[in-house]
Amino acid sequence: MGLQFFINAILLGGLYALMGLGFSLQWGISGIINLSYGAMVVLGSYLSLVLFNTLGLDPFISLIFSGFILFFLGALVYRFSLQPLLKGGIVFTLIITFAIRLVIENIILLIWSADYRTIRVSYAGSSLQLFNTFIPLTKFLTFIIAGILVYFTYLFMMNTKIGKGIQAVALDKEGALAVGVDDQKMYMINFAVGTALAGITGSLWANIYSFSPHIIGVIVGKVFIIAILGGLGNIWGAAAGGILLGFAETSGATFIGSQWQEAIGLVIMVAVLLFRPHGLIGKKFFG
Amino acid sequence: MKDNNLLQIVNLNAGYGAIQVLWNIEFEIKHREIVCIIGANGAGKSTLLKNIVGILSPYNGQILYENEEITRFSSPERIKKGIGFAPEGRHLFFGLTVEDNLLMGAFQRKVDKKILREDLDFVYNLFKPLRGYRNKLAGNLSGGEQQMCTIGRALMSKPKLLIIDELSLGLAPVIVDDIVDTIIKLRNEQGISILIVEQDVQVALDIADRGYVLENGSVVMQDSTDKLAKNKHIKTAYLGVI
Repeated sequence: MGLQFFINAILLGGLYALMGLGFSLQWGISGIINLSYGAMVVLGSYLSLVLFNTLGLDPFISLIFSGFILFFLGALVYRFSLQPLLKGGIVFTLIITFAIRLVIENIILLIWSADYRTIRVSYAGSSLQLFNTFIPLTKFLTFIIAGILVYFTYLFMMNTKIGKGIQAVALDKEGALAVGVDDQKMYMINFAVGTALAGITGSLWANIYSFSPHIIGVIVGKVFIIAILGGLGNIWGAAAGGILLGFAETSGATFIGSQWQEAIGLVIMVAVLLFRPHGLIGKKFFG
Repeated sequence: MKDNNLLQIVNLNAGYGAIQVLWNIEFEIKHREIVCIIGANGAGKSTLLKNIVGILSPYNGQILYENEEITRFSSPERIKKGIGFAPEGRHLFFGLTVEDNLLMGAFQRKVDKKILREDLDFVYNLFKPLRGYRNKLAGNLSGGEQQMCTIGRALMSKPKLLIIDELSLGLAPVIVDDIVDTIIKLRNEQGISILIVEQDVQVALDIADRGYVLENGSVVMQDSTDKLAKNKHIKTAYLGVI
């Protein structure tokens, strides 16, 4: 029971870490609270569904397509709808991202209806066995891929030229301008990286859970909690926040009752806001 | 226009949105020249610098750099062309080490590591304390060391024109003397032109060859610093001589 609980929690937390990371980067670095994030995750799920139904592509492979398509969608959204209205302040970006969510949500409803969908790969029922505990294979692979992607995001930010430019605007925008970093380009790429992570999360989600436009709101709620737990724009913070939410929800479901699964995350978020408003890691970005 | 001008500004009007700050600015910097801009708070000194660097875009007028019009160039393009900028308030990346800050200064250059290594060495030889602190976070440096790091960061872009906003602000006089010596050395040995904005008019007049006096967004006077130092208006308004 103890080990099974731990494994369930950490497997869920791995997916949440990846899911929260994109949202946290967008908010913490580009300064955009992306209310369409949940819709972008679910869009990734449906892209994988289409590729699975037409070409029989495994979601572990189609996540590459979700990532690419959502990256370009994110770049376009930033360049043509967010950037021109940045001067309007945060309220404008909230309205726009909410509008984008409604557009994506209704397109999904039109094409695929509101029914819950699932993708069942041939190995969906297989499990690994560790002592007397079962680890579902799809969840295990999802955890590994999520971990690798979080680490790749970190490497991208630390070691590439664009990553360094993004670090620069995150740390000191005026300083970044002084050394010739194109700030808007960095915000755009960072936002697009965030939406790509959303799309990949969607593909991974589709391999484990059922999905429909109804879960968009639930996902937005979760990424808010993860980002706030970890501290905005902080990669390891978002990862820690995701794992923590995984543990919180699993303990809620295990010890109190599954109807409390969602509530316990919110309770922890309120506690963090009261006592550690900068998040548990408590540092902005790498600063 | 004369060919030996590195930078020339012709009839520049600029500001923030509807609020015009600079009026009909005429301005030039020759090769190997140190020029200072003096003026009270709100006179438009920093606004002028931001227009030269390209962080702000002017309403009209022309900015020429090496006889090429750069008025509509983006700030990364200008920095690539050789305009280095040490902004007011330093704006170092506090979360990064001193060396990473300096390397960030070379963001626009596409050169291999060996050349960057040599350029880092050049900066460390210029500002000796920085070498010892290369792996220390920039946020932990003292004010003077931070200013050295900011100027060093600007030098990493290999500028022909180095622009320093508020050189001495908040620094101890001994440190200011050190940095001033280094700047004069940079001009003499490297042939870099330098533009400084300085609150401490005495320091500005000591270091520069020529000066511009900015009042309410207009150039009201320009001359060699020797002559400016003797000017009655400068003496009473800026040097506190009665």
